[in-house]
Amino acid sequence: MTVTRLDQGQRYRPRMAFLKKIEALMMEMQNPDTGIKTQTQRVMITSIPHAVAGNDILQWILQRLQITDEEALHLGDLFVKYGYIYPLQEPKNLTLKTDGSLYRFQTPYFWPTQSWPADDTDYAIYLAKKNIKRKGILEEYEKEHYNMLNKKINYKWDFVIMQAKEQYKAGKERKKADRYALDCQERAYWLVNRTPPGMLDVLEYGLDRATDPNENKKKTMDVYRREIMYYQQAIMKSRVKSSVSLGGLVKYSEQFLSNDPILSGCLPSNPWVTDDPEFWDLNAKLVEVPTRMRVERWAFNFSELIRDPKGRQNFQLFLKKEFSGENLSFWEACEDLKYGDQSKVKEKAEEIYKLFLAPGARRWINIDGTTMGITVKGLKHPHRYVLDAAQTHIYMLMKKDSYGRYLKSPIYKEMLAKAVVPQETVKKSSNFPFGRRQLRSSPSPVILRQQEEEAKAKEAATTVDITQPCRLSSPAPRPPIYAGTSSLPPASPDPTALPHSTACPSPISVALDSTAGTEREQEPGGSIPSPFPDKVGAAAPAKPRMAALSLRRFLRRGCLNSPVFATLSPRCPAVPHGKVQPLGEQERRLRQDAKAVSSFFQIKMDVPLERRIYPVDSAEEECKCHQVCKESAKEVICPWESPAEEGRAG
Amino acid sequence: MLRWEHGGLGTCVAAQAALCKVAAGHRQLVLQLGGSADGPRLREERRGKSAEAAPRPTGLRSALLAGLQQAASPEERRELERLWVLFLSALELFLQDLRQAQRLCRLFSLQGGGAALLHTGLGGRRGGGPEQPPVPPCLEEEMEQVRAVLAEMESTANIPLWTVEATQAAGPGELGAAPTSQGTGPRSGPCCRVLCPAPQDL
Repeated sequence: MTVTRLDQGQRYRPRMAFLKKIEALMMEMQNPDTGIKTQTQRVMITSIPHAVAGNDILQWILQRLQITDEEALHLGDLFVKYGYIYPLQEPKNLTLKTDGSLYRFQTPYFWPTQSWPADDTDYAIYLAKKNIKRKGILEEYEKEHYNMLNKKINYKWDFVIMQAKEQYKAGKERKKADRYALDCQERAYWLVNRTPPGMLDVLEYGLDRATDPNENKKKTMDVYRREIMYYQQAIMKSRVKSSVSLGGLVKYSEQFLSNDPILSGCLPSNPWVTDDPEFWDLNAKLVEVPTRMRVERWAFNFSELIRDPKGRQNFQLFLKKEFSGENLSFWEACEDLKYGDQSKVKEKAEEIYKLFLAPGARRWINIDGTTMGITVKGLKHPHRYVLDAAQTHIYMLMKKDSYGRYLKSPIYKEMLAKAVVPQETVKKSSNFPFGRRQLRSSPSPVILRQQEEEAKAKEAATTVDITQPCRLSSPAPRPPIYAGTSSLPPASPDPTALPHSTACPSPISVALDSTAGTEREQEPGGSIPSPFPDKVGAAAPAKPRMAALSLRRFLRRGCLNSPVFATLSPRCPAVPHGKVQPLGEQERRLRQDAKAVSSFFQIKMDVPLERRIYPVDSAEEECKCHQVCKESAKEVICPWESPAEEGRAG
Repeated sequence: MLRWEHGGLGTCVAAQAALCKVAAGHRQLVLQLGGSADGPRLREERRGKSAEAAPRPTGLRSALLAGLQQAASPEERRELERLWVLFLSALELFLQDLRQAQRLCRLFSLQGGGAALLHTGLGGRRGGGPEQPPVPPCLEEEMEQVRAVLAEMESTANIPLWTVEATQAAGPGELGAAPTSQGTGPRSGPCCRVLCPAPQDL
């Protein structure tokens, strides 16, 4: 019993238009007047009519279709390969020989059909029949098929055997010549439909289709409606002129020609040829010193850079110098969300939000309000593509903005200079072809992955980005704010340092420690960086506080270079950015931003009144409040969590 | 199997064997459609064969159903289920051949000047016979009938395929360790001897 499958699409064989055409030609060949002359084949003592010479077939095709010799030969060959004509003298050799070799036409029962493929049950019956006729006559591949089918359709195997016997008996009733012809026919059919190993399977057509090509759909209103929709969508699809797309292809080919290992060879040598794995070692994912070709490739376009892990590493160094390292980290986090373990999607999405997207997040990325709105909305129901909009935005930002500068930067140039050009190794002549070469296996992917994860974790823990605000009063001289990975203190939070930094390498903050004595108590133990405490101290009047507050917000937005900053704290080091904004405007702008965002967040109720005057833009705003700070650890509450969770700590 | 030759089960087995035989004969005839042996006579013969096969499905089905309902022992039940599956397979094969016949009759309609029959080397059973072309609707009816029976069978008895085991050995194809498929050996009757060569025959 064949199990009828549920219609889940893709079970229709595609339309094979050539079948009908060949059939028509076959039928024409039979014409007594214009067809092919037949001969008689002598097999031992019997003679079987209707044999046709190969040459005659060729001549007929030439004459009928008026094509060149080569084409006619090819076409005739295809006729044989598809099983419409089968050779008599060399049954397994399905080619058209243009000498006197004899062929015969296949009976239409055995013609290939578009509607159904050659059935497994039939094949099993055929093999069983063959076996009954003469035991042990099955070829190797046939035996394999037989065993496999026995397992596959074991439930109807009794039927197979029974039917094979019956068919064999039925065949015996016929006269000898017919029997011979029938056997030849069947054998030819199965040679075409279950090709022996080494023979080309011409009937292979790829995947099954989802729609039935033979279906004659009645043109109802619904059908027309669907057609219209389909064509409308097709019109809306963006198109590119073929000249443009071909131009793109040519450009791509030209650019990458030198990198293609097959076309241009590879240095030091092709491992598949010379058995020397040095090429792979030199091009390992995070090798210390990459090859020159690889580094040059990063300059081709941005996607080349970002898809190479070493390139990303180098680019990240550069970005950190520019204080936009969070962009690449965010991008990588999004990739992990998309392609990583999907059972942890919700947690990952939340973490990414807390780390990158929440206002006041430790590594806040700069995306526009619309995108942020879409993303936050989507995060209510996280799935793997929920951060796509933001990721694209950041990607384009990096591509259009940072990438150009990166290519001109000293970091890239240094990498280019350091890059190694491997020497071409000569293929060691294999004097000893059977010698066993000592082949070292590459490191286990499990181990590699573990190493990567550790490196990533280390990186994440020790990275600080510029968006982390720093203290205003800095008696220290001005070393450049390199919030990078250089002097990385240990990962554990240093209670004497700024609370937000699990490791804050900023020399300023370290230097500020001495002045921060009074503020230490006020700092919350929250996991989210609080803005730096009010330098003015607890007794500060409202106005400077307000100024400080807005300044804090200002800094949080990453505009550390403002001259306002300088006015308020002349000793703060200058930052090499060019943005200049007056405070008032800044304040206004920030206040507006804050308003927009405030609706998302729960506000801690213990905030003192004076604070409430200011637009509250985040839960961490409270840091100055003594009581509050002591009581609960502040955290960023994700806006999609229920209000009931508001009071919960940590 | 010898034990149950008498009684309801025996008739089922016999009916199944008969159906197989008719199906095989029918196939032989359909094989020649469109070839040099084709002709009105062949088609008549085919129709006759098909008609012979026609009542069997319904009869066998009811017999099997009855048997299943009254199945005494679990062995009998298993045997009936096996027969059920075999019956279904035979019907499917028959239906496939009918489909082929329909396609070929359409392609090589004997009316209208006679389509070019392929020179397949087969000689038809010569002899006179009525020259009327076969009536196409007959085929459709036959197919419908068989389809109906198949559908009915699939819906009434809920017999999962995997419970049925072959009683015949795999045959010569299986080389190596396990020459017999599951559930064979002691149950194979004399008819299987032909197909179960001892491994040393290979």
